[in-house]
Parts: sequence; C-alpha cells; structure tokens
Amino acid sequence: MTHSGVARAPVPSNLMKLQFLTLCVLALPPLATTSAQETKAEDPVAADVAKAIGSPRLAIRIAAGRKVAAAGDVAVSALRAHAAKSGVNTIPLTLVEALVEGGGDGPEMSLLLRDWAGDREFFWRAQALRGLALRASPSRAEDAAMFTAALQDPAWLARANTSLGLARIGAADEAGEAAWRVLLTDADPRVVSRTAALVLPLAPEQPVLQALLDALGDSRTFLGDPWGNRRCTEAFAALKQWAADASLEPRPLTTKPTQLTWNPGAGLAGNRETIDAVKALAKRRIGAQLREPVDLRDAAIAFDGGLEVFSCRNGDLFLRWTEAGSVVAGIEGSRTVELGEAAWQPLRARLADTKLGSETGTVVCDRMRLARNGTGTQHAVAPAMLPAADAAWVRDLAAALDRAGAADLAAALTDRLRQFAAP
Amino acid sequence: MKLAPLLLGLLTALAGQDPIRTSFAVLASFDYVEGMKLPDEVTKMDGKTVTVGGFMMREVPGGGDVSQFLLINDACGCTGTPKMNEIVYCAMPEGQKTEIKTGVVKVTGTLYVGEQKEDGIVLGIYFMDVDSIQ
Repeated sequence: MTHSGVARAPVPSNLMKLQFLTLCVLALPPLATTSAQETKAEDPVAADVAKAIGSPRLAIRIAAGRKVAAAGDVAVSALRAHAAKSGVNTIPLTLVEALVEGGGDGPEMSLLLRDWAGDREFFWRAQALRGLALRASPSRAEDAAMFTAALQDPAWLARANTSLGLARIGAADEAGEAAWRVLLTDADPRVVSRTAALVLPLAPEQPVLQALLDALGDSRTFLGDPWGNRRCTEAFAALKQWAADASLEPRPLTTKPTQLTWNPGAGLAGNRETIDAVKALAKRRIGAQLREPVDLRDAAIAFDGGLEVFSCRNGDLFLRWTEAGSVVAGIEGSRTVELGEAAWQPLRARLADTKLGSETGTVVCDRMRLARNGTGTQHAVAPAMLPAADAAWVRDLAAALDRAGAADLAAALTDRLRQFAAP
Repeated sequence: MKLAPLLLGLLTALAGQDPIRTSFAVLASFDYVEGMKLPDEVTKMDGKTVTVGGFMMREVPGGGDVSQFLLINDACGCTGTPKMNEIVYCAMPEGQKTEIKTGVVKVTGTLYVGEQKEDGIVLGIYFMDVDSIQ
C-alpha cells in the first residue's frame, strides 16, 4: 500500500486493514510481543504496556508509551512483569523514554529506573540514567554515587546523561569544581556537545556556551553517517532556547528576546548573523568572550572501508582504513596506525569473501557495522551473530594492529568482538 | 524543424521532474508541535518528487524484506526516539519489497507532507511513496 492512498484516504479498506494486521502479527518477533488477549479487560495499564511494546505502528507505540508513563507507579508492576516474562530488552526505547519524561517521580518508578540504569545488559540504561537525572535535586541526591560512577562509563550517552544528574544535585569534584565539567573535555565530541546542551539551562557558563558554539561548525561524517551534523543541530537547539530566555538578561529587555535562526547546510559562513548574535549575547549576559568556531570537516582521505561498533554495553569503536593499509581510529579519525602493505593486503583480500548480508540477526541497539573494500556495501550485525569466518577476520585485524604497535586499539577491538562473535 | 520545440519542451519537462534534494537538516529544522502549521520550507515539497538521505529502519524489529520502512537521521536509532519531523514513513511500490540496507541511503519518491492521524493519534508528518533507493 502506498502513501498516496494513505495520505489522501487515511482509512484503508477493511480487507486491506485485515491483510495489514495479519502481516503485522506474523512479522512481530515472538519476544517483543505481549499477547493483547492475555491482558485485555484485565488490566488497562497492562494492555497499554502491551500496545507500547507490540504495536506494529511506531506512532501508536509512542502514544501508548505516554499513557503507560502517565500511570506512574501504577504501571511499574506491569512493566516488571513483562520484563520478567519476555526479557528486559524487549522493552523498546520509545517506552523507556516516555517513562523517563513523563513517568512521574514516585518511588516505584524511581526504583525501576535505578534498576535499569544499573543493568549493564539493558540496551537503554543510559536513558534510564537520564530519568534518574531528571528526578535528582540537591535534596534528592540518593543517586549521586551512580552519577559519579557513570563519568567513567564506556557508553558515551551514559557519560553525557550523567552530567545532568551531577549538575542537578550540585556535585563537586575533589577540587571543588562542578563534577560534570570534566565531560566538556571528553575525548568523544558527542559527549562534549550533549553535556553542554544538557547543562546549559542550569549552568550558562563560558565553557558550556563555547562547546555549543564550536559544535555549530561540525559537518563530519563516519562511513556516511552525518554525526557532526547531528551535533550542530543539537547545539543550535540548545542555544536557541538559551537565547530566547529573557530571564537570563542582566537588565529587563525593552525588545523581544533574540530569536536565533539557522540555515541548514550553509555552514558557519552562511550563518554569520547567528554566530555573532550568540557571541554578543554571551558577552552581555555573562561577560564571556567566546572564540570563533571553526569548520570541522572530514579530512581528505579516501577510505576503502571501515568497522564501527555501537555498543551501549561496552562503548563504541570506530575504525576506517585506506586501500594501502592506513587504519584511522576514532569517530574523528584522530589517530592513524600504519599496518603496512604486507600485513594489510592479505587481510583486505579476505574481506571481499565475507558472506555477510545487509543485516545479520535482529539489530535493536548494539551492533557492528562493516563497510567493505570500496564497494559501498555495508553490513550490520547484531550481538552474538558474527559468523566464525568474519570474527576470525576481525581477530586478525586486531592482531595486525597489535603488531603495528597499537596494542590498546587491538585490545579494544578484541574486547568488542566478544559481544558480537557467534558462540 | 517542428520537432525542435517539442524536443525542447520534452527536455524542459524532464528537467522539471528532477527530484528536489532535501535532507533531515531541513525536514527537522523546526520544533514540531501537534496541530501546528508546518513551515513553508517543508509544505512546498508536498506531492513533489524528492530525494532524502538517511538510514533505513524497520518499523517493527525483525528480519526479512519489508514493504514499508522508516527513514531516519540516526545510524542506529538508539540514542533517542526520533521526533515526528525526524521520520519519513516510506512505502515501497505496490507488490514490491526491499531489504533494510545498512548505512546511508538516498531514497527518491513522492513526498507527502502533513499530519496523518489514526484514532486521533498523529502517525507522522512525512510519508513517501518510494521510487528508488540508492
């Protein structure tokens, strides 16, 4: 069924509806489905939980998730029952985020979020941590130890989200500095900009504003993924809100607060007025002299392929390589390891033999992405689904990195491989 | 010689059918609120042939080829629930299916812009009848 039909006549015929529903029921993975029959007429919250998890329509799942969240503590037993029966990782991100945003601050909900945030195997533990952060305050700092521990979390999103908790409880480090501040110098640029965006309403300070202004110049990509552009969008949204907040002005305004605009794709040069407005506002509001942001672009390197690990459990890993065997590590490409032609070419040739399809296993969150030998062909692999031959290839790449003097990188790759190699 | 204007007309018509190239930077450049008047930047693309780059995602986790999919701006869709204006609901031509490709794809097709509701719930604001995926 095409959208021309949907857009102009949203209600399909009964027959089509029946066919669609049949297909959806057949397509649902067994673990992700909670039978509506089991819950109907018994417990309306449980029925909403079932819909929030099992509906084939994303928008319906989101809407049902909001209803579950609105039930607050009352919903927790149904959520725990589902997790106990079908596994906690069948609970989708949409439902977790609904609970984070709108689940209330009752003790049962807080306990549930705490359990999830502390569950290393839970895909959405970083989001649960944000839920705890949103509920934290100086007088409600029982999760301070968890927030502090998360500063060292391997998952970038957990590190970023903990900044909000630390800022809200007013945690300080040994030097008396705000404990979240260390995240503004995190090695992962995604942590820096997300932290700045999260803490800006609480701490509109120079380093926070500078981090956001810097992110506006980011257009970097990784194997086609425009991650720099996402940083730019996120930073602009935070700055726009900050600029519009008249309460931050040193003196009452006689005009409307500044409304920032951003021209997507125009880069820094095409958004000169906005950058100048941010700098002027920072000077007027807090006396800060912000540095000029710079264009952060991809280096002119012709990559032949690469490997990316997204792991909420163990942290991400980014490798790209050239045809000649230069391996560039990091999402920014901040480090290069030369494998040498002799070591690389046999490895490269073997990669062409992979039998991987576009998607191997059911990818929900954690996954490995492999881009192959300049073909543009990419493969996604779910945890514990990487076939033995491909796992051996990754292992041999790690060994080559080790021999080239990058023992730490080799160890990190071997560590991530454990999550993805088929048993 | 009478063929010349025809040829010119045909070429002009063909040139007019070039897809509009857009991106999530444009589609998601505003704060969407249910019931709002959508910005001209996006409503002007309603019913037009458009090319958008993004990542394919299943609407329901699982395997196999699909007749419908979501196009989103996040490689794994796991850092947050995409906002309504960060999703293009894509439908393959009648009777056709596609695999979920890994990595960035460019999807071309007819884009429909505007809230579509079911039982009072906004299902989405961007829908596309897909012509091609590259």
